[in-house]
Amino acid sequence: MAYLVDWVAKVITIPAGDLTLVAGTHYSLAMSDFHEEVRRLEWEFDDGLWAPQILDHTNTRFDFAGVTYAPFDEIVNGYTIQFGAGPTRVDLVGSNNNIIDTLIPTGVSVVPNNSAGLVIAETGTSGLTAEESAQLEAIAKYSTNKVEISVDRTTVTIYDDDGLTPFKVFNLSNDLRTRAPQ
Amino acid sequence: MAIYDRDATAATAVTAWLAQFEVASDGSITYVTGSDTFHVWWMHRSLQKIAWDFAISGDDGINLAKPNPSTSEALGTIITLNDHTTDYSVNYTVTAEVMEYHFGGSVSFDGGDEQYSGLIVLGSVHLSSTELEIIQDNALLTSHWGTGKNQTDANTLLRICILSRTAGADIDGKRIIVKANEWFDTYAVWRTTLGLGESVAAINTSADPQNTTALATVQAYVGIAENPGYQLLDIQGDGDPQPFYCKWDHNSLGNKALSEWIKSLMVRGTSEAIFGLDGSFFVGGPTFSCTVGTGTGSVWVQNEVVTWTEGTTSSSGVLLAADDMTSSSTTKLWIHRLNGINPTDTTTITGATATNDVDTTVTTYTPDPEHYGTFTGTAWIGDYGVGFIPGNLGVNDRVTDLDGDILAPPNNVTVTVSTNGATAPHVLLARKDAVLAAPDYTDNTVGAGNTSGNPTFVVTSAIDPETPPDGSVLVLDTTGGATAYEELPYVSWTGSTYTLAGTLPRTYTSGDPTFTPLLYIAATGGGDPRTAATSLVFGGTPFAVIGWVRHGDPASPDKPVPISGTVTSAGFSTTVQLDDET
Repeated sequence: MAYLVDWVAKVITIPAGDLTLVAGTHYSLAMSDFHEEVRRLEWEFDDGLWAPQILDHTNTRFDFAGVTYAPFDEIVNGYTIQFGAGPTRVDLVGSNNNIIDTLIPTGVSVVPNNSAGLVIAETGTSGLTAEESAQLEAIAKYSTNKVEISVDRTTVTIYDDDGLTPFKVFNLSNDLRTRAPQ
Repeated sequence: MAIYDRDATAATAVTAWLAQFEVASDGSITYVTGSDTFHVWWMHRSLQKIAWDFAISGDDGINLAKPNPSTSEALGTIITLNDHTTDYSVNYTVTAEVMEYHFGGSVSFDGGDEQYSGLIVLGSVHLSSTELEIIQDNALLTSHWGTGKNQTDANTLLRICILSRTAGADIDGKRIIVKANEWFDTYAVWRTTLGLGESVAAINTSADPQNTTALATVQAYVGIAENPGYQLLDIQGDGDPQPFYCKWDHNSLGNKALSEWIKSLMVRGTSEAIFGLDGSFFVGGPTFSCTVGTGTGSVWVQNEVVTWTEGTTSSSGVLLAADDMTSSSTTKLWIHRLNGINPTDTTTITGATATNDVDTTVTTYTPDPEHYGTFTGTAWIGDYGVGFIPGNLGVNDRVTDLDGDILAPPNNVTVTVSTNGATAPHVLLARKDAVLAAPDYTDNTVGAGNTSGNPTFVVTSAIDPETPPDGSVLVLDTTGGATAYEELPYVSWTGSTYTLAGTLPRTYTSGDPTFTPLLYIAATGGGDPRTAATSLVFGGTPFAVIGWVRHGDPASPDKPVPISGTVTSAGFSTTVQLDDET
């Protein structure tokens, strides 16, 4: 079999016949096979020579300090991937890739097996977005900062890191069992 | 050797003349010894001198007892030797050898049945080794003048006397052609008619900057062809071919080689033929054309000698072109005249098997002495009717067809993508989209009537004039649910129609998008670099192109390489390196 490519809609369908059966409906896809087949399709006159490139394979495998690092396969130019009928799980083997990000959900569970290991985080935001970072800081204040119940027992105030500035004020119920943010 | 011009000292000139020639008692003048040359005036004066003497002296047999030898007119430039055969059995005559030592005027004798005419050639030549040639009645005169003779001033190349009338008849109407076809120099031709006195011709040559190769080297070139005869050539590449009388092919040796080759066919001393004619007698091209009617016989033969009689003048020429070789259909002939005069209305021109009568119009031409016109080193400025293989011409060349129209070839530029590192790379190169960094995938749309099995493919709008002459048009059968552009190889195109290499595999719907890449082919070659190339007619405005080279052989795919650039008046060329991607 061969991949089915709708070059206009930019949808690549990988049939079960081009996957390696692991067990039952559990399959794997060798990303080297995927790379070769995509390159062939991009190269053929009656397939996709006229069309934009599907795959960026600029970062190929390389050996470093005795370790062989897997290549990176990035689906580019808006192409999407889907798996044909049959598999319920497909393991992607042999490269780091973004197929998960370009996958058209068809009920198939895809296991990318991308490497994690040492990654570089952006300084000051611990790898989080600004919004995530702000939320994390707020949680820390809720859990560790100074908290004061008013003398009349109607409010509870959580202070900012300086212990003086109110960070959040809650109203207390009469029975003191419930607090509600102001 | 002394040259006794008209203004020489009389006593010295006459003494020298009488020492060099003998005048017999019957009047015959013959050469004895010496190398001096004399204005014809001194022949007259010398004859008058001995006819005035009482006593016969030296080797001469003339004295006062003999009748008057000669008369002189026009300041001594028209000499007539008198014939007294009837009364005195004395007839003053000269021999050809005697006349080789004379210049400056004419000498008539035998009662005017014989005449030598004076010729003076003025001008300058570049190479001192230049030897002028003189054609008379389709024959080269035997040179006794070498690189020049009787150069009585700095602007004079040659002064001689030429037999122009014999046995009571003018030799080819006294017409002659003077030419200088010296290797390394420009060629020159001058036509003149001799007569009484001294006629003038003008010859000027200069160093030919495009004629720098040794003659033997040029004569060793192989494969250059003149392809003679009337033919239509699409010089402008517009599908409207125009008539020429030859189609020169430089056989990939280049235009300079071709120009030198043509000159070598006509160089002094050549024994080569050009248009079936000894190159020594070919003076550049057709000397006249005539419209004809009333054809009889069968067919004209290319380069055959044709004849006609105009009045009482027998004439001949070489047939360079007939617009139809079947005489019953011929309407116009182009002829290189060899001798005689041009025909006029109703004169019959006769070939080996065909005849046609001139119908009204005869047009005279003065062909370029080098035949082809001018080669500047980078471009032709073609002489009348001289054709070249259109593909050998560039945008800067100019040629003139047999209709007299000056034609400019299109700017055929090459588009080339060279590749290294892979055995079967495929190349896409197309016009860039106006906005996107991508090919323009819709430069036209499907036209009407594209039915399965048709040998042509029609698009809606006129095909871009800068489209390659062959290649592939790509069609997206949107209406038919296609998921990819489909390749339709074409072998030619015109207007809005592609002529396909095959036939349409399906019926297409009007309005669906199409585009025609400049390149949609494999780069070929036995090794690096491999090449994908085409050509197109550059319209004058540079345009951007974009594409890629891919090698997806599953055995070892290579990293795709994007290409981009601009097609200019110089075309487009780029080289890419393909590297293994596994």
